[in-house]
Amino acid sequence: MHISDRMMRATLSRRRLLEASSAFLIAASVGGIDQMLWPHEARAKNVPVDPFSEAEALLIEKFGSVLVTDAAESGLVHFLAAQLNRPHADSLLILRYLDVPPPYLDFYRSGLKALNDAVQSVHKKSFASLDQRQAVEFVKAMMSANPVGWSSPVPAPLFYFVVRADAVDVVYGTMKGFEKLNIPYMGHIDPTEAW
Amino acid sequence: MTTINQQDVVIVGAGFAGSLLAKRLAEQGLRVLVLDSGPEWNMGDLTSSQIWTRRLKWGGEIVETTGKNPFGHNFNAGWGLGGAALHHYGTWPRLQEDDFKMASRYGRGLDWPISYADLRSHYDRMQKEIGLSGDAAAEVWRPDGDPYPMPALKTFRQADVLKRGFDALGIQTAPVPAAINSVEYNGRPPCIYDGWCDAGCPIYALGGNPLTALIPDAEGHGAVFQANSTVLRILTDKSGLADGVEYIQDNARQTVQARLVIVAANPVQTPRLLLNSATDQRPQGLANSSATVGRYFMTHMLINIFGMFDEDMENHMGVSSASLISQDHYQKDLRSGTFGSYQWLVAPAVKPNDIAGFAIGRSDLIGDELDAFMKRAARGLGYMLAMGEEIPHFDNRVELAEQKDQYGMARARVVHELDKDAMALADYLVKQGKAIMKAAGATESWSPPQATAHMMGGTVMGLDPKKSVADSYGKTHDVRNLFIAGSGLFPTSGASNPTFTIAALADRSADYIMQNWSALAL
Repeated sequence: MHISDRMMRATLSRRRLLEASSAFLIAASVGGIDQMLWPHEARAKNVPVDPFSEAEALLIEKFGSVLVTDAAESGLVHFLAAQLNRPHADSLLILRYLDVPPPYLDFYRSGLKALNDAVQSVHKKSFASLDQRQAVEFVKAMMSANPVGWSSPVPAPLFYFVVRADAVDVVYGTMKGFEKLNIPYMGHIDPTEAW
Repeated sequence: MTTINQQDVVIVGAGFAGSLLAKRLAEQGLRVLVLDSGPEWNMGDLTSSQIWTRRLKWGGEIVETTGKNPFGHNFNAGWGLGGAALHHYGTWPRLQEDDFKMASRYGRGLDWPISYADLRSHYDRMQKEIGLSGDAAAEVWRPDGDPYPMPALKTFRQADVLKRGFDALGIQTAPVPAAINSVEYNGRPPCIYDGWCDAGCPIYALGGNPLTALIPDAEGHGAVFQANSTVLRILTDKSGLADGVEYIQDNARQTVQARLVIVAANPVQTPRLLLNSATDQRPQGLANSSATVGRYFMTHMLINIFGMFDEDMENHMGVSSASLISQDHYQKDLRSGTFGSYQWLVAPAVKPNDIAGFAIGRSDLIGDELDAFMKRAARGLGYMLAMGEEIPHFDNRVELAEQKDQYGMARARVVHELDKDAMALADYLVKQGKAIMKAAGATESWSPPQATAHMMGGTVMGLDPKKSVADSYGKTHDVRNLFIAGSGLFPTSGASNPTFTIAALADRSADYIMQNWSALAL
């Protein structure tokens, strides 16, 4: 095996890894102090979630938490926001695997609107206003078919599948998530933070 | 537009085939430039995470996927130096003799222009060079070949339990043949069985990863690998021979001249490039006088079977590939009402999230039910997958879409449908998989909707220039100094993972190119 410059550079790549991981950090001014926060920290400090609106962020948290317990607390909305602010070639979203054409924000925005429209048509209120039983029933109905009032070209079952997978990523796919499941992580190169 | 100095060989695509050819040709003193549209990766980039590994999958121009059973492109395609082999699982079975003679033996599909015997020595050479672990004697279905240079990988509890089911049904299994070190090999360490293979193996245990040795070795012999360089078209001279490529780097159009061009992109981007290289003289695309460029696109039909057991399966231990393989019932016409080969890959290491994670295996569960399932699965889940053969069909194809990229080149569109034989085989495999799980002691078993894995065809090899794109060396019938490498050449898919055959074919092509250099090169 030839020892090339490439192999020597492998160690330097650790620096690149650290730089890349900073893409997950969110620049925020909290109490007048500029900080770099991880998504779950940003969530705890109510940092804005550009490119989502506040209403969209709340809906993602509510919907995601019905799908996967602790999704909101694990920083789902900030994870999505951080990824959607990156070029699609750098995206770590599972949507990348599903041959959905970018921009990925259109997928989420369209699905969220359709979710609220459909809930409005059935319950005359927003998804976020549903009680837990109503929310679970509604989600189960959208697993296999578009519910009444679904207005998006994104099929409801696909939207459900993707957001559930996103929520699984942040809750169970991290080092913390493995620990929760009592699975040894055993990384060769550990992710530098939550993701 | 800038023209850079002349190369002997320009290779499009730095996946396994392109990297191996670069190594072989550079070793012989040729000046070799490899252009790849994706980024440069190094071992330190290969973070152990199912989330981070997504960076290694396709991130280039949008590929449209359509048809009755759309092909799952982005998950299967690589992105950047190393290509799909950077994140492949290292499962390296050989094709079987039957796979090369489907048309003549069964009256279906296509024949290869070569037989297994033509590739055997190349399989043998590659398994020694890359380093394969396995137990050749236990693979009773394996065609003739040298024993593996390393003993089989370790197996864990999950494999022991699932093997009970195969044994009970009289189906033979063997340790998986893997391009992963079971012991120290060529100065590289053995696997530590943490199951992060598809995130890229940064410890040099997975020899099938081109970053492990192929690319460094090629560079050591002077080959240049240039990332972030998207080839737009292959250029030809007045006589119709290839004389270079046009590509984009840093948003600037550049050309490089070459005496021989090898397209080793993948079965989607290779046809796209040939079709986009149309000229007034060749309006149907380059190397396409047969009108078969893009045709006979194939994938492996994938069936996942999960089972829950009342015992600790140690399912986090092992490799992403599998612990065991079974090609015991590989014969194509063995099952009434179906046609095509299949294999089982048994007891891979499992992870909670991502496409192959166990959460997606039960996508009907949410909230507290999901959490309870995740905790049970982390201990008691068993997992195996079947790969089924797809017969080559002319209408399964890669074609140019109406949409163009930012440089004015048409995007690729993949049109794909599984035929009734493949669907019948899928049904058969679900039933057999659940029966195996039950016989192994699973308290319940389930199978998510079928998926697709690997890509093959699109620029198939053949004897007849009117019915195929290239000969058995990958030399296009129309242009003597234009070669194709990779699984796009496969006329049939078999049911074996393709990388070992990609390697053997590229090794054979390299020999041919060097032996005939003066007659081939511009």
